Amino acid sequence: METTMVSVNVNGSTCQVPQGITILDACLRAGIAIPTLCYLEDVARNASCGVCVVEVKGTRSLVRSCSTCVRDGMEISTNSSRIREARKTNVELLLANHPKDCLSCLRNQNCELQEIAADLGVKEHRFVRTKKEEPLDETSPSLVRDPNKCILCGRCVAVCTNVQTVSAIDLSKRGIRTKISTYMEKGLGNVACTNCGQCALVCPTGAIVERDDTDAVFEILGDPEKFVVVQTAPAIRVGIGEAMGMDPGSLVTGQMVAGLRRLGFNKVFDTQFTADLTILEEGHELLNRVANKGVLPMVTSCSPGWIKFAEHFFPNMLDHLSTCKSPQQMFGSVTKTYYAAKLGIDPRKIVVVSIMPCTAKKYEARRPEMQSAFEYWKDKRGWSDDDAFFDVDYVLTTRELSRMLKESGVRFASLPSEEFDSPLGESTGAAVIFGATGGVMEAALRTAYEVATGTALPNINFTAVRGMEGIKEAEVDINGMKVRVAVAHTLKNARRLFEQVEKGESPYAFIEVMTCPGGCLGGGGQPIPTTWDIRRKRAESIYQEDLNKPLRKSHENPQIAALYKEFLKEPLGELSHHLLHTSYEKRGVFVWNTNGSRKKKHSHALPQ
Amino acid sequence: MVDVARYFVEVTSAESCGRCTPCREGLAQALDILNKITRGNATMADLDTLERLAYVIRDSSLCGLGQTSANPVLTTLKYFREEYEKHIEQSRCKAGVCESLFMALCENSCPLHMNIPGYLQLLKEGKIEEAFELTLRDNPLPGTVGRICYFHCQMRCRREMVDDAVSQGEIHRYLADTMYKMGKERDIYQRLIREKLSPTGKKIAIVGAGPAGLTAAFYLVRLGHAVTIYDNHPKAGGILQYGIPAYRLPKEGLNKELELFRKLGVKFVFNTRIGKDIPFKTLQRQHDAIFLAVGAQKDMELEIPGRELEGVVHGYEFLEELAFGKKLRIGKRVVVVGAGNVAIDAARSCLRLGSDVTIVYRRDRDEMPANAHEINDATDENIRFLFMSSPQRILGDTKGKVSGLEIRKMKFDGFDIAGRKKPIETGESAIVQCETVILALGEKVEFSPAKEIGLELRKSGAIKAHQPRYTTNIANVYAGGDAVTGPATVSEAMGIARLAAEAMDFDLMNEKRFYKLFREFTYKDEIPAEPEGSKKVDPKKISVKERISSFQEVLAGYTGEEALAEAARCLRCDVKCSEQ
Repeated sequence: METTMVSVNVNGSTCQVPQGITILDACLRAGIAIPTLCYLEDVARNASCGVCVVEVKGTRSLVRSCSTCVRDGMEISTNSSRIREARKTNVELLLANHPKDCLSCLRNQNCELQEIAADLGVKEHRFVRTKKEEPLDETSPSLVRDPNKCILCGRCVAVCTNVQTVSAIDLSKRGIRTKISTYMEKGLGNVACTNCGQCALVCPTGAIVERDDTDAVFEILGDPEKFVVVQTAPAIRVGIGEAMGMDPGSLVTGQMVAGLRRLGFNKVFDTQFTADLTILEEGHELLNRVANKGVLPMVTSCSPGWIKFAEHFFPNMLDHLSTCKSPQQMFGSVTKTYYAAKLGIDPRKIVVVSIMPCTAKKYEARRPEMQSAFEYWKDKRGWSDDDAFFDVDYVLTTRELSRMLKESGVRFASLPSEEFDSPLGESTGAAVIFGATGGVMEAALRTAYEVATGTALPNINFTAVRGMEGIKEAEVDINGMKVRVAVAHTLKNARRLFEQVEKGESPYAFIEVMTCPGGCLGGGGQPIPTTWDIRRKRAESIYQEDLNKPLRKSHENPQIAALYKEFLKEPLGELSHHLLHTSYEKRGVFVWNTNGSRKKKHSHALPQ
Repeated sequence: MVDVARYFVEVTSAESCGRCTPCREGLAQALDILNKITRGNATMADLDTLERLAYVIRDSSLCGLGQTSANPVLTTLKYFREEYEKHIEQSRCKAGVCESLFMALCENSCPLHMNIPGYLQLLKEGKIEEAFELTLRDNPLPGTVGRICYFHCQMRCRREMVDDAVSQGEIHRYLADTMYKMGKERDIYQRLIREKLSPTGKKIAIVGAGPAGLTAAFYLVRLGHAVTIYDNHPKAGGILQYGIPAYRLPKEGLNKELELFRKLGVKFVFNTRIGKDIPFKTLQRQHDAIFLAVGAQKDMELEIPGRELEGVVHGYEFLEELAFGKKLRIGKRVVVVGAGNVAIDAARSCLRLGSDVTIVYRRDRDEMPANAHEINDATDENIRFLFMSSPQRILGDTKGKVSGLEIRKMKFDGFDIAGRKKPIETGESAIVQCETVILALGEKVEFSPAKEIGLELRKSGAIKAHQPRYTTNIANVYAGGDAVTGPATVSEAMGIARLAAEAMDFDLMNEKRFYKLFREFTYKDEIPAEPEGSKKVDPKKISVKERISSFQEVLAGYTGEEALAEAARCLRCDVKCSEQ
């Protein structure tokens, strides 16, 4: 379809732009970047902040360029004292109620409000605070909301409602009392929030941030009694470089390992090891379901935001979820059983720290059922419940890791490339691509095909499931059986697929769901900003790393084979059932009385 | 108007949906600044911020609510800016709405800001000397003003919601009269003399010994300056001495009060006209500052045929001549044209001189600017009123003497630019037979040396002086009273003079010293649960028969019991709950 062009005049020069685009985009084409604050490409167009205002000839007041479309013959002026005064005053107004403790804010020097205030030349504070101090929302194990820092741009609401279809938060009240609220002010931890952290990723200030666990990890690293093991998710190696000031998408696996050693972890392992393990368990589960006419389609369970989403919004469909734990949790239970036994260390002394691109992982690690290793040892050693420990003790996001590295004075860019420790550092290319949308599917197909057919894949690159399309489909011929699979990222797309399943209309046998846009590489714990451009760059590096790996299929991982041989015996076996598989909770949407917990209250502290 | 804007912004700020910054945050800030202004905590910089902010709210709000929400601020700033400035610079809310800016409504509406609840309470507690001293410190002519004031205070008295306003003025007249009768004022005068600040060496000339000039002198001399008042009359008092007839203001009382000024050290130079007897330049050379309080005594002309006829006189001129004791030839039938206090004074004076008097006015009774009680008294004294009658022509006889006044009947139709009902001609006319026509259509300022010395005037002829310091375009020259406002009231003139005196002292000494002239008085701040006192006590009046045969004072004033009963009626609006 041909685009109709219209003629607009920007600051005196005329240009042709496509009809229907915004003034903001038209000006950008004319080489003028209009400052914005609340606007976020593809996410929010709330027209709330009043920063992107421009003059349009013939209008009485200034217009918002982010949400006004161009008209033929429009005369736009973007730089007059009237405009500058309005922009500056609006930012000043926001600053009036914004705390001035920038130096101790997690978003210091990575804050859009700070930046725009400097860009617009805000030189004075003419206005006073007009809002009352509000308490923090610390109910969530993943996120902390500080309403005082909130500038009510509405980006978090837009992402939660439109991208994730969760609507855990919304604007409430009016006038100066307007705020972002959860249902009945219960707090994020007590409502149907998936902990995906996309809100934190889009927040221009420090009003929603990850729960910061760096101090606790520093403390544990300083404890000589503890054996501290770190695992890193696939998406960290394409994100941490960026957080340390390198170009977006920088692939820094070796430096990351070196950096983690500098921080003092006893062993630097890779979540990709258990990603390979997941593929084996999940691949067999799928084959098993197909063979035994089990519940299909089966849906992946690696993304904890998706799991909680399903528990809240599709509580009667939970048997579609794979029973496999996520790689993070498999790593925790394997480390505290297999590895502990191998080394002869008291599992109670092992501390597992995860570096994840994800805020929901913080929540996942605190799910009360995630204490398989303890359950494993309990009877063997005769331990009481007081000795209980979680499989994974601490979860840090990419951003938190970058803060720890900076705090420790690690000069990241000049670190040498180092290798992961053995044996839990071994992984294949199939595990790497877990970090991108479609990756788990592709990895599973590589293994399932070969396990089922016993023959090698002619082409192991399933490109149909790669890329940033919201929903991707593929069909694989396994032993003459056509298997249709689908991949969804963002919960909005997951909802679409699952609604299909609910109606019994799903043509698929296997579905991969990733909570965040782009998969883990666009996770809520990744560096800010995370834009579509940046996501694509990170994805490129992920697939590059896959190519770099000598082994690219999970079942070829020799350490996985050793794990089965020495410990687990076989996929879906008795021990796997206890250590690597889990069950889900029917939560429904109205959950606040359960506090998200079945057995005991959440505890963020390490069980003593 | 400030509170009106504040009220609107309070409403819109609560109605704002809160989704866009300028409306949500901007209105909250605007409300905060407006609250500061109405509480007297704002600065002029806040006013600037408010105005700039209001433009941004109007310009960059998303919807109609936000875009229009700042309009009450912008419009009031455009048309009533001086009200904002008064709130900020003088902590004054003329409308008496911003409670934190005043003591009580009566005090706030008094141009002299007399502590009215204070002296009423002191009187109730029997501390009559202190009550008098309190009034005197705020008002150097308490007995005089208590008789002839416009009583702005009574117009805002909250007691009116129960029955009638408290007669605050009558009470300070009572206080003064009582003190003078007992001779107790001497001690208080002595105290004021003792308290005089040490001589500053500064010389101040005051032109005009009327209410404004006297008030300025009262404060300035006590501040230690050498004050000389120049007046072209043989006595002090201005309009009090020469304008207001004795039946309203007996001259003995006035002259008694005028003694204080001499005692305090004010020098008077009488029968001297500035610009004629002494050049203005000389005055400037000899003094550090000059206060022009020349009043407004020049009668306005009525441009109708027959003005030149014998028997046509002007109102103020008539009263002045009467005060001088000149023998006035007025006819048996007198017509007074006008409706102000001068018209009523002239009419009632003529009545006392034995004439038959008719007042002609082109509007109706409700529109008359004179004091209501004066009009009532005039009616009681059988002065005839011809309302809705516009004078057309003065008729003369063959000898060139007045024989009558032709009037045209009027009716109201629409409103004029000031919002008053507009009288228009009906075409019907009538003739009122008379021998004398007194034209009392108001007065204007006439200060003849103005042009020569380059003093800036308004179109009306009034001197252009800048509130609240009352400076003129000439350095060290200040102006006040009717000379600045045009014909107004005695208390307004005195109020301006007080502000000007404060400004002059500050400019001369570069130091805040004015507050030293006042002192705290101790009295109870207790209010009864129910309003005390009974109905308003009216002071006795002499009979109409006695009145019209002489210039004896009409109002007898309060007795002690009456004054106490009246003081008890005060609701004590000045006692407020302490703020949280």
